[in-house]
Amino acid sequence: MRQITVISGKGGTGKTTITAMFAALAGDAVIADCDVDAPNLHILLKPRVLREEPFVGSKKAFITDACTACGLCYELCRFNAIIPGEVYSVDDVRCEGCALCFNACPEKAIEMRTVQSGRIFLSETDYGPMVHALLNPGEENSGMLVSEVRERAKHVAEERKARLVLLDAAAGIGCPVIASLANADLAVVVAEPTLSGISDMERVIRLAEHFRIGCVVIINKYDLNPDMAVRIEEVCREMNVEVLGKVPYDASIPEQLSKLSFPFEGKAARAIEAVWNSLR
Amino acid sequence: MRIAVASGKGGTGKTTIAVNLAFFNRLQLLDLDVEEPNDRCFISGEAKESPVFRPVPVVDQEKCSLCGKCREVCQFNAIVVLKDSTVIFPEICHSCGACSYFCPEEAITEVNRQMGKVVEVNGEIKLVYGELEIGEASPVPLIREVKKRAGKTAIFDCPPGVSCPMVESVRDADFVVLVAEPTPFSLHDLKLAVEVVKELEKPFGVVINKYGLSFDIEGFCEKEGIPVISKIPFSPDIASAYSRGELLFAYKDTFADIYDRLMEL
Repeated sequence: MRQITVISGKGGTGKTTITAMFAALAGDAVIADCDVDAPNLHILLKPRVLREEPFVGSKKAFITDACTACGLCYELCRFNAIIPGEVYSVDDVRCEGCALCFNACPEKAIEMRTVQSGRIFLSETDYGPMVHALLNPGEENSGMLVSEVRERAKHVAEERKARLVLLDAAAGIGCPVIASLANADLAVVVAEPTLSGISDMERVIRLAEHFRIGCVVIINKYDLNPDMAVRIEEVCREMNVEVLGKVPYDASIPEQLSKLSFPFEGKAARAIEAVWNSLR
Repeated sequence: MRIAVASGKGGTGKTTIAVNLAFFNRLQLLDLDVEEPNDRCFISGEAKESPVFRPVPVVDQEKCSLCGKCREVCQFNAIVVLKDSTVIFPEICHSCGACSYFCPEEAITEVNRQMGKVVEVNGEIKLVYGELEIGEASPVPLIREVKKRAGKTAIFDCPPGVSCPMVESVRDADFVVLVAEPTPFSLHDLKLAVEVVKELEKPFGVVINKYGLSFDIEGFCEKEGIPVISKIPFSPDIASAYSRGELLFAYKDTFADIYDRLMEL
């Protein structure tokens, strides 16, 4: 089983469009949306949810009535998650669940409570099984949820004897992206020909290298700025990363997207198909 | 007033709006997207770098009795106790300090590990940005470091998404501008972002970027009673200027108007 993760660093370069097209072209891959924070793949692939499971992330501290307001937890917490006062309380968003306060409280007035911080969906699409999730807005632990999604996708792939798992990652280079990349067989980097896009691509390639994951690059909308596209190719040459293909800007894509008519057609879709054939 | 520019979905135009809003109104700009900072592509000048560290534990193997207390209190599986030594994985470590606090032998001390840097750029306007080290998992402590440099009036360019980095970025703002584009993806993520800013009880409004694409996003704002602060047209000129790292001089008045509008709201 091969796991291919689509990443970009920068948001909005076309990861989801390209992953969805790959899924449609593959026909039998297990699809995993690893952007659990602002997922979009389901909008195109229209999964039918077969099973929904709660995601219980790490525990969070909760201060009970036994608190004597001694202030030790406040002093020890490095995440500014303890709100002092006559009655102490915990800022849920800031609490990382490290349990230092729980273990240190002399009054045993702190409990660690599990909280449901999202949902995981096991679904079926016209192009194969799909695992996706939704983190409750404002929550943390997106990396943990991504790992859960991947675990389930792997399980489904084993059950169905699928040869490919396609993963759509979030933007950035932090924990959810690291969790999406870990142990993948290949990272496909979707880059756009802008100054920001080049900077972000370099950083995300370095991230993949850091975790020893091989990369290839797709330049999306390359003709919006052909000079910048050439610079991307130069940067890739210096970094020893292959540019697998270039996809032209196609004004009909936003139109097809607004109507949710998928799989996409037209010149961009044909270029994505060519890239897919060389990737396969 | 501190104005956070956020979105949910990436690539909707946060950077374009934040940079131009700051530049044409002569405001301090903070780039809180420390994973992928891009405001520096638009604002140049003399730069001052300060490294940012986080504490990570190291074990004095001589003093360590292999009791396993550190492993027991570590919630992140960052510690393994072997037959003859205790091993810590600093990349997984959240720097909470529990292991060193509870070690009965005082065998664990903390050393500084660089997690990134804060850069202050003295250009036509002042820009402060953070840059996270490659491989570091959590941007949140670095976002806090960048925010410490915020003046009373500033524009915060926030990271995409709606999880902890975005929350940390908007929580000290007085107003949140959500940048959306007329696509089903953006509408979906805008709804999530709206949930977050409502939860944080922040006043907010929407700037519609790439206005002119056929999908309707205004209907949602209208229905929810969310003020639409401005509509930036879908234009090849804007995309092209952005791609080269240029400011939108042709839209100077638009950004002056947006700021006036924000002051009224």
